Amino acid sequence: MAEYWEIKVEDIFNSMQERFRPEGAKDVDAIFGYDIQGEGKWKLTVKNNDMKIEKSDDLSGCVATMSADGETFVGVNTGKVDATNAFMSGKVKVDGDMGAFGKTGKLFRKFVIPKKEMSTKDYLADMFGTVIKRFKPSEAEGLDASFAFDLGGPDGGKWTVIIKEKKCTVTTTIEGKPTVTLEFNEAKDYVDFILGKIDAQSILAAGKAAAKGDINMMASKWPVLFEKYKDPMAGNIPEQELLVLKKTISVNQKFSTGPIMGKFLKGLKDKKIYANKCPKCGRLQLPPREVCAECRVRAKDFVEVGPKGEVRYMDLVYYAMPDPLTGVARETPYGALNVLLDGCKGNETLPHFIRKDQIEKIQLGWNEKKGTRVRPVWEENRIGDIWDIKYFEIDE
Amino acid sequence: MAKKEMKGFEDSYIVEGKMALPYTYFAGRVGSKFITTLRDQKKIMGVKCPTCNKVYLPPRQVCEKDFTDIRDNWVEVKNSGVVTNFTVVRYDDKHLPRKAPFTLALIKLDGADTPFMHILEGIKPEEVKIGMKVEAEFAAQTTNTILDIDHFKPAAAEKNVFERPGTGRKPWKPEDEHETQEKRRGGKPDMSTPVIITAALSGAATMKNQIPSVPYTPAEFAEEAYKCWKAGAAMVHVHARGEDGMATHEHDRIRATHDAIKERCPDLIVNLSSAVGMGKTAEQRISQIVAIKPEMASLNTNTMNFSIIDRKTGKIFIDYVFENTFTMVQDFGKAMEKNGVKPEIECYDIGGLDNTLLVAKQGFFTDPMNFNFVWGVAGGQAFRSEAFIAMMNAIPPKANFTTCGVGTDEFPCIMQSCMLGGHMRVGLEDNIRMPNGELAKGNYELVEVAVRIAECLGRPVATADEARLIMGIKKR
Amino acid sequence: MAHKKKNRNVGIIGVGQTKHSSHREDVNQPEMIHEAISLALKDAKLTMKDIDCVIHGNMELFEMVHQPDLWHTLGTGAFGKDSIRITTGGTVGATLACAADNLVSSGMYDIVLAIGFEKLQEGNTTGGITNMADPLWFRKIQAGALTGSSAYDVEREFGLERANRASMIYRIIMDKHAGLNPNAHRAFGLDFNQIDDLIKISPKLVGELKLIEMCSQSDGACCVIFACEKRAKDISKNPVWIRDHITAHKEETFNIFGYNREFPVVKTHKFAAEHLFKRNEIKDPLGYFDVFEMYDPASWWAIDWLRDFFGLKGDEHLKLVENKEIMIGGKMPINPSGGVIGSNPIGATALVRVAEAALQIRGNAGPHQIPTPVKHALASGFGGTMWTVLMMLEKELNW
Repeated sequence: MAEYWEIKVEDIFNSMQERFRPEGAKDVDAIFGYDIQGEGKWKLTVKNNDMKIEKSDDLSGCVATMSADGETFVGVNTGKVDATNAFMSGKVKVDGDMGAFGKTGKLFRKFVIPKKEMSTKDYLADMFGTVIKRFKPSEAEGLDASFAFDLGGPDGGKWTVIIKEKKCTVTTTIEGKPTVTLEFNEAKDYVDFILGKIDAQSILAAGKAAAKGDINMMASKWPVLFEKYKDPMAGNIPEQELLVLKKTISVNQKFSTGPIMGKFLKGLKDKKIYANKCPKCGRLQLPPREVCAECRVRAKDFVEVGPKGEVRYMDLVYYAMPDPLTGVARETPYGALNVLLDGCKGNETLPHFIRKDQIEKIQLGWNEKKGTRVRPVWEENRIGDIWDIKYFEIDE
Repeated sequence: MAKKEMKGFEDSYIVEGKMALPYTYFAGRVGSKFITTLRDQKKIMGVKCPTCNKVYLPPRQVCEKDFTDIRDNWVEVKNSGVVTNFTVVRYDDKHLPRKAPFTLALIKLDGADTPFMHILEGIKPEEVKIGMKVEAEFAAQTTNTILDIDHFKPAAAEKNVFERPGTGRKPWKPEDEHETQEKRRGGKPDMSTPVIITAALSGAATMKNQIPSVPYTPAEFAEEAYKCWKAGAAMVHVHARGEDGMATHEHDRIRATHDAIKERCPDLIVNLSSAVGMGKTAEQRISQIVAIKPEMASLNTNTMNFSIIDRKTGKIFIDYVFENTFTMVQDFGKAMEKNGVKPEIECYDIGGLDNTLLVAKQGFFTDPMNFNFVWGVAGGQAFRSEAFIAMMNAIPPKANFTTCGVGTDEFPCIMQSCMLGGHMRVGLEDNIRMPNGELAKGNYELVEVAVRIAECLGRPVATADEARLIMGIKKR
Repeated sequence: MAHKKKNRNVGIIGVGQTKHSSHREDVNQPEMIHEAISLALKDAKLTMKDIDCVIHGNMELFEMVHQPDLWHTLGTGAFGKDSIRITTGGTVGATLACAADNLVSSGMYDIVLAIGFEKLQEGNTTGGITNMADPLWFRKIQAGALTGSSAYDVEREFGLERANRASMIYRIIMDKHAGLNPNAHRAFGLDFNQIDDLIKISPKLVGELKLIEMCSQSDGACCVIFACEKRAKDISKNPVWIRDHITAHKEETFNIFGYNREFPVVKTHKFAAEHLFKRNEIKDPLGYFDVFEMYDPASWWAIDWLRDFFGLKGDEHLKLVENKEIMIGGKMPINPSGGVIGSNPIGATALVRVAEAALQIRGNAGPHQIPTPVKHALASGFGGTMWTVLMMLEKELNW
């Protein structure tokens, strides 16, 4: 199987059980499908705060199936590929109930890329391999010296770094009489020392290492002659924990209706819908407002309109937006209507909702074409609120 | 009065509204570090502006005053501080963190320059006073917010008035010079002169992996120095360190370290090393002293082996020659005296003492001279009682002496010094263990041992000002 | 509307933007603002000391921080300075530019710094927008800024297929532009051979308005520094001059996207553009301007609005899109930056339009610089219940 960033598609599925968060699975009772091109199909069953993942070619019964290629799938799960981008550009597709599939996001902890480690041998090869690159000739004016390293243990070896005529060479033997020789019983200690995990003093004090020759040269010249060694694994250090505060801010408010809106809202209590009329341009405003903002004159005359009317436009809303009164997302899809009530014309429409089960049947209208006829469905107990009309339904 | 309805407004009424929206706030790197540190380590961190020196708490990325980017300049502040202002909340609201009445206080934590607001509990609102000392109580359960400090409470009853050893008695004054000398010359130790305790905070070679309390940063030095001063030290001896813990000769760092200590405890004498650390040139060693002009600085007196050797097997790990030629002793000594820096003359054996007396004939040393007898360096003498007495007898009549010893030499040598009317130096530079072999909690614990020795021998512990009088130091 | 009286000319002398992205977890609000401000100061070779006044702008409620300019002083540098907060909805960034122009041209201040930002990931955009409506009744039933009514209009007039394709061509052009702009938030690498596929697979949000056609939700900040003529000439080698700006508001109303052309209410884009061009004696705006940075919240609206802004007839606006004349190198490049569809930190978005237009005139916009010289640029802002801000920028002081 192919590997992406050294991770197999199967690694993601096989670790699902381990990464499962029962607290994220509350109220989830569904089967989800995964169709990973060239890799196979998997079926995820979530029920009773538990889960099961199986490889299966039969994805029947899945509420939603996600399909992607292996690279994208691994990338999205490891954060190497931006999930939104992959989805938007069609690299990840979801067939079926997208809303339900969204819940899978909360089911699992993040997949953590297993940390690759560098052995002592790898480090030594890298440290001495980069010596010449890290050498700063400008600091070596007039210097003729050699630094020898005698590192013991199974991974150890011998190196000599020779500086002469502003040039740096490295040998894997100890040659001639070095200016200074560092001896470490265990090569690993040298690696740890260079990586800053232990300090020279304590290695020396513990008798694990010794320095011979011009120790001053080592102490004062080496750090100047070479750029500090950079740990290639340093990038693997986990990112700083960044905090996120989630909070629903809820504020109670009180609004004064004023006489005009008050008249409209009180009218709903009596199953009456009032508009008011601009004395200048003659248009109706629904709901009524104190002035006609186009003509900048007071509009005092009320006209009863409707209650039945014709649909001019309906927004079929798929995107779940929060109800501003509770902060909880509304159920989708829903149909947001603009109804041209009887007695109104042009843009004088009233916004409201259509009965859920009738969304599909609504015909939009314009001037040449009539839209579906609708009528309001009134609440039993009306309090003078826009919700005194529960919704509109088709007037058959 | 009957409700009067205005004509034309009969249809006007009030409706209840509500707004509830979900938000997701990102704390950012700076804010996250602040909260995770106090959550995980119960440490409160601020950031210091290097331009205006202000320590901000809570931390922020930019100094609002001078627009300097300060995001990486973290400093630890104390979990305790003082109330700078407060208000008592006497109404209930669902957005408030506590039921009324409760106190919201502005608290300036020790080490911070800005007060920040938190809840104050454990005290009746009417008893809260501006200036009272309070400390943080951390929350048992984290919310990943500032409420990981659950609240502040009045600080645990500290000693009403803090008494540093050496205070609370009549200040010491030098008697007439003649009499003081007489006392010592007769072989009878002068036990009435207060004993000066010095803490050698770091040295060049003691590392954090040996003992975490050894200071590297200026802030850590300041904190260690402060603790030592509280415990009874009159002077600290300092080898400044870089961020990585290596001894440094960089003036800025040494100055920052020196100034941080002086800012935290202005009273203390700061004694800087002119040895600095291995492999430093003569110029590197003296120029920083001339630049910073501490009240006192060490002056090393002989070229000697200064090595690292296994004490049990004799195996040589690092063989190093510590160079202090006659010329250097002369030049360093002159430079110090010229700049008003009192030399502390370090003698690793009696030969070093004689070296000093030789060049002293030129007459540039001012009285009194102050000697430090050092024991136990690999390359110098080990502690021997009779050698101590020989050295004491060799110094000029008006001179003072103190002593320090490496490792297990530390306590015997200071005890003998105290007993003979001399002074004492302890600290993590020389020794990191308590007499029972356990690691010291910090320099201050070693100072506490020295104070106990002084108490046993009936000698008063010197205040910093008394130490200045004794050693002939001009306060800066 | 007559010309506004200007005491003196005003030039743009510094521009700074963050990279716009979906998440800025690593910085809080003032920290992100500080990034843009530092870049703008650097661009102008100024320090905070040179700034006389800071104007701060973002959306109300989007982050739910009351008086954010207080907290944000940490990032804006307004400590001890005159500072003004502006919030006018989606137009706020453009309003910042207008306010800065007014403050400097009046003589009140010599150098004004405007900062617009948004961290949309922190807030709830649609929730915030629903709270713009009349709380007595409409807040409870409106659908935020999302509506498919524009799509419905175009679809009815030109047929579903042509409308859908034009919208998607526009979308892909914006993606190609965003791909050139290093600061853009979204660049998917879309290509014209994907038109049919994208029309099919992109999830619908509302009506025919699809997810891919809608603007992004971005975190980002933009800062622009304005100076009076004398100081601008002293400080900058190539100041960009503000010729004129216009703002047209509209009454609060619910049928905000005007689905019924037979009964038009004021269409502010058209209204603003006609007035602005008339008072500046520009008869052929399509010929006059070299670039237009348009506030395009969705590709459906964008194609529709081209007609309003340039006073086009029939299907001229669709042809501009279909013939790719709006691409960099075309007759009227629209949004070389990738536009609002590419990056939308709302409080900064309209200021980004002005900033990007200015950069095009300066000639150092970056990889998305138009190859031919840019002398005249137009920038628009859109917000609220359909109100419009337009700003004209010029290379030379010769009008």
